[in-house]
Amino acid sequence: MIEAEHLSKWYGQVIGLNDVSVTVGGGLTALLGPNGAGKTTFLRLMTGQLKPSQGSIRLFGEPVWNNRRVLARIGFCPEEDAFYGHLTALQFVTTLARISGLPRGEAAHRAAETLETVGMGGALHRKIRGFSKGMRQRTKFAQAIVHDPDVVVLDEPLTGTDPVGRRDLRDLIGGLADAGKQVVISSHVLYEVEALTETIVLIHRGRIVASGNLHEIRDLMDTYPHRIRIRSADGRGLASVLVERPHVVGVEVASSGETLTVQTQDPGAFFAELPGLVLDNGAEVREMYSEDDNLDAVFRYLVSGGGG
Amino acid sequence: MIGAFLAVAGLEVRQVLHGKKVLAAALLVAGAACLGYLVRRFARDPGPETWPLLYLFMMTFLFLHTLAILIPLLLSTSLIREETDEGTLVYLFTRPLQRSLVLLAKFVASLLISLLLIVAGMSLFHLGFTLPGRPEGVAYDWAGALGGFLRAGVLGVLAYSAVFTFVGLVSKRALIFGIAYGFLSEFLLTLVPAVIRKATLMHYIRSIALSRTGTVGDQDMDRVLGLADLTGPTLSASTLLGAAACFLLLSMVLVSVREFAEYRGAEAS
Repeated sequence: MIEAEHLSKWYGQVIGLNDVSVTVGGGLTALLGPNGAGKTTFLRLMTGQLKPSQGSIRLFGEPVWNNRRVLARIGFCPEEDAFYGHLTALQFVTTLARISGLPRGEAAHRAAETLETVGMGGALHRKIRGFSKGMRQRTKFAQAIVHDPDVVVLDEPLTGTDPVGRRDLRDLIGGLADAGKQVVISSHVLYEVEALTETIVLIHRGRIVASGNLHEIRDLMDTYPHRIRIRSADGRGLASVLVERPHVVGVEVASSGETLTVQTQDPGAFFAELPGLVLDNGAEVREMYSEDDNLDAVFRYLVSGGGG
Repeated sequence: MIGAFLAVAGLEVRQVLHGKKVLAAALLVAGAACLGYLVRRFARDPGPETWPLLYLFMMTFLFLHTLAILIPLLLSTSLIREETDEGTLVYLFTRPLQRSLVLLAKFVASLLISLLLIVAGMSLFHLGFTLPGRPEGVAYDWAGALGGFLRAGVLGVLAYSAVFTFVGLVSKRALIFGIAYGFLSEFLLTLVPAVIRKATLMHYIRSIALSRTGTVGDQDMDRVLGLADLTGPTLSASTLLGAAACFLLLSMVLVSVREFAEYRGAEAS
């Protein structure tokens, strides 16, 4: 159980995390937010790298900062692609297992076993500096779980991996949760975590925007009016047609008369109807794109209170 | 805990040995050692009492004033800073080993390498200077002089390593600060007589090194060198050990209370 109470972290004038109170229970929880939202700050506080500026964060009922008992039960996989490049994968994981308190022999045995588990069995004795991104991610993952921690914290573990590597890592992460570990994973990509868990915490601008079941949060997001920008030779004509559609809540036409921005509550229906409307009215669409096809826009909407 | 401590120390040794700084330090040590042989081999015979003077002078300036400062400066200032810059510190600081012990393990590892370099350098210099036919007709206690320098070198490296470890923790420009302190302040202040000289570590290092300068014939080398206000070797050693302990403890406290996961991007504002 991870409990944050009025947790804040400032870096000088910059607020990294702002009065966060949240309880993360067992199983797999995704911490979701756009880049710069405060995810890494939260994970660093959770793993004892930072001390709170205000409030508290507790794991197993104890504060984390400088707490050896708690740190012994945490495994952390950082986002940074940083390594002791001169070490082999086995040396790297064995060394970190020993620093986690495993005796030398057991550390080497567990390191080999864990690297095998993450699919690095064929590269035990290769230097890390020659590894591909996917191999480095797996090695980082191995060092996080080699000492069999109760809580595994993974900061953007899927970033930069190829589709096959991503699937494998997802399976490994899912396997940890199935094995009874508490797993916290951060990501800025919703679809990446959708396949892993339904429990998510949305974080934006240092605040928890929403937390709970993925479906509930999806419902919130579905009420968000999506903005679609269209460039047409007859922007004004097309706007007059679109504004009559029930799911369209607003249309803005730029002064040139060519570009219009449509706000719709139902982007699926909008994209289904648009070709017919264009053909029926003889309008020519030169360019069309979704303005806010990213989490950042959704988060801004939720923060502003639009999401309820 | 001992296993974890040794693992961090072993990791530090590997890191140092794979770095360029240790190579640079080893080349400087080798160069200084070679200089001893070359001077002894090619210098015109300057007279019996001048050989020991030359030996004492070269040992003092090559090893005590230069390498005993430079090697710890290169290896100790970066103990934590390098890992912060490379992003690897997170692997050590999210483990159940106290941060102060992580620092201590790294300090011990880098100190051992520094000591190895300085002791090897002084010994090789000594061999180069004395082996190719000891200066004939010079009855001088060469081994005794080497013993003094080795003791001074070991204690000096220990003290400077602790100082530079602390400097590396408090300053992002530790190398520049270290150079200014080690090569300017420590050198210039030793030229100032009386109490001011005694505010430098180098005074005590030189006091230990030159405590056994001995005699050549009827010449007392102390008098030839103009050594008037050396501190006794026991007090000097205690001062250096005390300074090392103070700076090391300060560093261990600092590393325990400070955060090293630095702000690196556009977090929320």
